[in-house]
Amino acid sequence: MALPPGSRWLPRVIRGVQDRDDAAASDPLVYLNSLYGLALKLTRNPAAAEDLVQDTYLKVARFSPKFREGTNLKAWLFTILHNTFRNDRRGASRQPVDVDSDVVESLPLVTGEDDPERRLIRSTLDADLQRALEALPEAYREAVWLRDVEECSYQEIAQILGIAAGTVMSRISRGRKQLHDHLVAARQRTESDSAGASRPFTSS
Amino acid sequence: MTDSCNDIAPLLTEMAEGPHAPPTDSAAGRHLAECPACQHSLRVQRDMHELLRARAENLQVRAPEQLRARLAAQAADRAPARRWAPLRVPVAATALLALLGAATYGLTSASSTVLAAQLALDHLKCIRLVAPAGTISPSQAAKEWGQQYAWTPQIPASPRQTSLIGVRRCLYAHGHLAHLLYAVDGHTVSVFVMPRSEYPTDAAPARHQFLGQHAEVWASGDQSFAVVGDVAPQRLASLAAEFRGE
Repeated sequence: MALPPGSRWLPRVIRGVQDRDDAAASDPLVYLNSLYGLALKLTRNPAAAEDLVQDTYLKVARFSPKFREGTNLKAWLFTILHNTFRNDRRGASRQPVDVDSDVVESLPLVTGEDDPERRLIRSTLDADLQRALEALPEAYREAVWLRDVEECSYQEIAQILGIAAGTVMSRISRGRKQLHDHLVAARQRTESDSAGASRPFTSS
Repeated sequence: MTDSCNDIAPLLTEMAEGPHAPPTDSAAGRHLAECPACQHSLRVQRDMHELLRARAENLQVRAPEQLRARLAAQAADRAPARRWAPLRVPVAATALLALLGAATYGLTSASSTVLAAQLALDHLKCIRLVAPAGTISPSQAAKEWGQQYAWTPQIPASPRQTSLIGVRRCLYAHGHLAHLLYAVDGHTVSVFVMPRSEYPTDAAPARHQFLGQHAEVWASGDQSFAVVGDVAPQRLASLAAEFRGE
């Protein structure tokens, strides 16, 4: 039986199917590396990061009808991953390590100026930089990573984290400063260790 | 840190990412020119921003190949599920055709006749819209359906010489049903699984013919089933029996 040609509902039905297929055609696996990178930054554990990414993609499949064309797919995926991580942690009743509090937002700034220090900072090894990033409180680490590595806009980060744009900027600012302090401290430890190792033997 | 330092703090975060300092005739510019703490904050933030941007490629990691393969396999398995979005059968057309069906084929089992008429229409509509997506695993389809929706359809094992080629989520009189499409002898045959008993469980399966389609309706447990297709009546009856596990 042929459906009535020109019937008013048919084009709408077909268009609806096509719209959904178009949305599904946006391949979320394109952003797998970015999602895995953020998952690793949050969990600091490769196996846990894989689990988190896999859970995220399961939710992506479930929520895909809610995805609207024109939405930033990468930010949408980050949002799902961020919420999945938070929900998982809440579900596991683990001790929250987030530092989303006014207390932290008002931590005093650490100052210290030295031009040679800036040059040394620029020569930081990638491994040291990774370690310094991982030493940051989770909320700062996530905000700094999304802005300075993933190049998300403030507005996108606010959407991903579910916080105000002003709080995003504050976290980025604090995160960058703490990162700097970690790098300076690491550099000083290295120099101190080197000095100790090269100190000549003395005799009494 | 002064109130002015707090006021200027958000500006410093943005400023650290740009090449220019604020105009010196602005309030922020004047404060920055006179405040060593804010100058230091700006410099530190700029250093960290530039360092991270410069090293971003090295810092980003590639997801393990095993994870990538696992996700790609999941996505491939899930492909038919993208067609599960509901399609609304035009209510007026369905009601009209169902009434015609009831009038034509008698009212000995009016409810199953109306149901068969509605499902025949749905069958005809969906086979026009659904392109076969290869063979689908019934157990996998049931599992994925259960994950997405609040109930798990009893998807029957495929009878011999048939294969499950599509799964849709369609609307009918009492909500959503699972619409399974099977390839049978070059025809497409639909099996509808409804999440409630639409027909007495102990009654014999009811057979109908509607719009050139043969249909058989039955209930099992708390779910109802219908097989609809344009295959010969005997073939449809044997298919229905196989779907029931007889």
